[in-house]
Amino acid sequence: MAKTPSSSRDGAKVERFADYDVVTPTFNLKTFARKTPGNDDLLFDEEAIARAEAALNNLSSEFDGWMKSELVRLGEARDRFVANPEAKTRAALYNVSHDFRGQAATLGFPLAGRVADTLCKVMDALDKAELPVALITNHVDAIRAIVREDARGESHPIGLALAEGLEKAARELTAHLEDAPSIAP
Amino acid sequence: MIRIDFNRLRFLVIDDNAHMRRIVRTLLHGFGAREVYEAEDGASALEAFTHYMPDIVISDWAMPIFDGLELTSMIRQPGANANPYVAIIMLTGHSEKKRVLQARDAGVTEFLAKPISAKALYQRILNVVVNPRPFIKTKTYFGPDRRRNSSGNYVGPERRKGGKSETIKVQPLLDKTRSAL
Repeated sequence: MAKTPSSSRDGAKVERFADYDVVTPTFNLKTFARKTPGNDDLLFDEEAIARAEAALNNLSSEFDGWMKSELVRLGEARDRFVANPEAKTRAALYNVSHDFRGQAATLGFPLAGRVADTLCKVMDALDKAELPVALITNHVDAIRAIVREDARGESHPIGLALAEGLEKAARELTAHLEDAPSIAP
Repeated sequence: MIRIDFNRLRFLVIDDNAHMRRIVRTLLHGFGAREVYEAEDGASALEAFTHYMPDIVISDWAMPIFDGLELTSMIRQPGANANPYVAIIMLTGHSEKKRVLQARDAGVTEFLAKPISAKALYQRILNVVVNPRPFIKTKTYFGPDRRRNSSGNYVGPERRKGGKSETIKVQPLLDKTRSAL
C-alpha cells in the first residue's frame, strides 16, 4: 500500500519576478526538528552520531567479505576490458572502480580507494581516447595488492608507495590535456 | 541543541551497490530512523518515490537505467509528482567541482562526496531539515535556491531580473541553524 505524506505538501507561496519565481513550500522538514535544553554551542547531536558510528562498527565484521566480492568484480571487469577494450567493457570497469573509490575507505582500505580514484580520473581525463592497458592493469593490481597485504589506514608504507607512484604516472600521462581532472590525493 | 526526530522521517536510499545501501541504511538506523526504503536504480527509485513518499532522498549519481541526475530532474518537475520539493542528498564518489555544479544545477539539495561518514551524513540531513531553502523557478531551472550566500566580491552581471528579491539573503549555516527553531 502506498504511503501517505505526514502533512500536505501541495501548498506553496509564489512570488513572481521578471524572469523567475520564488516558490516557498508551505510544508518543510523543520517540523521534524526540535530544540532541546542543553548546550547551545553543540550544533550536532553527538549521541546520534556516536550511535550511527557504533552501528557501522558492528557491521564492519562483514566488510572483509564485501571487500573480497568487490575485488572479484574489479578483477573480472579488468579482464573483460583487457580482452576486449570497447566502450561497454570500459564503462563496466569504470563503474566498478567508481564504486571502489567511494566505499574502500569505509571498508577499511582508504589507499585502495585512493588508487581507484586515480584510475577513475585517468579514465575521465582520457575520455574517448584509448586507455593504456598496462597502466589500467597496474591500478587494479595495486588495489588487489593493498587488500591482500592488509594495508589498512592511510599510511601503510607499501600501499602509500603504490598510490603515490600511480598518481605520478597518471599525472604524467594526463599533463598535456586541458580540463584534465586534478590527480592529487 | 537541536534534535532531529529521525523516527518520524522517511528516507529513500538509492544506490546500485548493495553494500553502500547497507552502509547508509545502518547509519540512518543508528541516527534513529525507522523508515528506510531502498532502490537499486533510477527507474525503481522513481517508483519507490511515488509509492513511499519519502521526506529525504539519498541518491547515488552513477546508476543503471537512468542516473541520479536524471532522477533528480524527473522529481523536480512541478505538477508531475506529489512532492517536487523533496530534499535530495546526492551521495557520490564524484567530488570534482564540475560534478558538484552539475548536481546543483539538476536541483539536488545537498551534495555529499564518498567516502561517507556518520558526521558528514548527519550534517547534510541537519541542513535539509533545519535550513529549508526556497525554490527558484525559471525557464531552465526548478530547484532549491542555488544562492546560499550573497558575495560582496561578486562582480559579474545580475542574472535575475526585476525585483527586490534579486538575492535571497541566507544566514551563515551555523547562525542559521542555531536560530532556526
